[in-house]
Amino acid sequence: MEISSRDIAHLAHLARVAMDDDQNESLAHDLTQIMGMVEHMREMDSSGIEPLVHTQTAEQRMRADEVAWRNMREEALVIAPMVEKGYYLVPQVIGGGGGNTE
Amino acid sequence: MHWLTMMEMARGLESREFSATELVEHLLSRVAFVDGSLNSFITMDRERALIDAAHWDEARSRNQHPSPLAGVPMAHKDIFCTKNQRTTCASRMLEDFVPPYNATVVERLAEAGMVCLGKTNMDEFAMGSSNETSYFGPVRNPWDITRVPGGSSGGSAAAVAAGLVPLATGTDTGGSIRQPAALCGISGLKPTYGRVSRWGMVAYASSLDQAGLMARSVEDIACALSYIAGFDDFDSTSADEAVGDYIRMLDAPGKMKAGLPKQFFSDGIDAGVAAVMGKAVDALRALGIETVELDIPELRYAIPAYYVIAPAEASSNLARYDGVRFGHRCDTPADLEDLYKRSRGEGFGVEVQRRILVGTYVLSHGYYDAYYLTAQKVRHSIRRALKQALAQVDFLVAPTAPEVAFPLGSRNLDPVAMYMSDICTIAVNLAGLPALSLPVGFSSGLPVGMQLIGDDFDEAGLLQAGHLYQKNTAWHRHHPDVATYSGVE
Repeated sequence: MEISSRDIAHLAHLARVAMDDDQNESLAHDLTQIMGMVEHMREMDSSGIEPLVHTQTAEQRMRADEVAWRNMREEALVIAPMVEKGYYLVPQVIGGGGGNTE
Repeated sequence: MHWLTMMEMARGLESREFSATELVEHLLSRVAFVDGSLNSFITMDRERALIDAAHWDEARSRNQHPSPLAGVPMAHKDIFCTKNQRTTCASRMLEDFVPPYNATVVERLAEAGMVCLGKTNMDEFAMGSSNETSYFGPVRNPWDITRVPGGSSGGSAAAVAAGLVPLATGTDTGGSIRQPAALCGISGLKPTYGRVSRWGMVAYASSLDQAGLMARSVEDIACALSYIAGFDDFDSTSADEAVGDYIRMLDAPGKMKAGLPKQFFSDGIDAGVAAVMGKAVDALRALGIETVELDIPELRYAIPAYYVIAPAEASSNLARYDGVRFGHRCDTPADLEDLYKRSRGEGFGVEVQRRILVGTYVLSHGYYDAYYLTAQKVRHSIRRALKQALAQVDFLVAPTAPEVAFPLGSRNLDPVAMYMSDICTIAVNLAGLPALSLPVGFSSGLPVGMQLIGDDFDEAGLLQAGHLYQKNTAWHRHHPDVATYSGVE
């Protein structure tokens, strides 16, 4: 299956990754090759086989409903690129025409 | 002193032959001489390592050390979160990320008293088979610095092989411990899925990722595994299975039977590797291990199924890097979408972007059944076939990699050719089984690895077979001549 640079632009939008035209083109080539290789798995007759999501068969163990860790809010905020008054800072989302709060 | 195994270092500390401080100082100076050529470390913390070493020397003098490993140096792959020490996953995205907590693996080895010298280089987000996708530059193979060390745990493999540390952690999603171990001539264990906690390990493909160990002997791996294995409250997928005293279990293996799946010995295996493997299998027979040839045709579909499942999981896992909570953030975003897109476009390298897009494609509307669901069915067939094989034998034998270390830059422009480097390792991850890679000889002067694949939670059986082999051979005692590029012995 041929994957075009238009397809790549669409996928890059879905995955929220900025890409220029050169990257689109080279990724179109790569993904066409990769998906061509992937097609070989259809040679196997997998009818009647259940999909395997996970190899672990054990039941999930429940733990007691107790506070295990202290609140790490401060430590989490310290590693964020931009915070203000204890909140993550992002460009304005509602109203104001998508302006920049930075 | 640097060629001592981890257990030999532990015994040297116990008999006061040398102190932890002397040992750490020696290895740090070796890193300073050698690693300019290898690039196996991303971040070193010399000061911290010397403080820890002094602490354990003092504790040992009072006989209050927590384990025989107290004061023994090691290194962590830079995918494991280390509290207050940056953890980059070899990505620009996490170039300045300093985790607020330790991974369980880090915590458990620190509790045993091991001294971490630094964080090792790797393929970006563990996506690669040559260590060339690292944002911090490629790692070079200690046996020939014009060649790759394998990947993704290439820094850990090179550091152990070059005598910079006796033990390093690694992670294995499709062969990332075993393949670099083979290409660098050391031993590497990928435990059963769930055997070791994934808490604090940066996620790539969560149903396949598993933490493990790399060392210059099977005995060292057995010892360290006893400390890191076992259930963890913080990882609901970690297995609640008893952990053995793997050192005690090393000796006295009973009669063993090994299966040789013919697919692993034919499709795309280099002639030099095949010749070395032939001798290694003969050596197993000479040690009393019965061998039987097996036919497992499902193995052919492992790479295609993997390159649906792993990218699908990766595209979902890596959605967390949004430029908001942690990691790289672009300058002056116009709006929220621009913030997401440019932060991710700038923060991720090309192989990571490639896999995110493949994952997005196979999970997208209209393709889910055709790709993702089919791959999961293929995965089930592969696991079933391997389990059936393992019902007849104690373990399976295969080359770890289809060829020896290849030249830097020879393959990184052709992703599909690169993906074939893992042709012998990937089925094990899809099936969730444990596997051990051992050095078994050389082809064109470069190391060849043999892989032993075991049944669920039978790490002990693999370690027994590997130890038996190493007690009777000397391949794991061969070391690269670093003097040719470093100016030191």
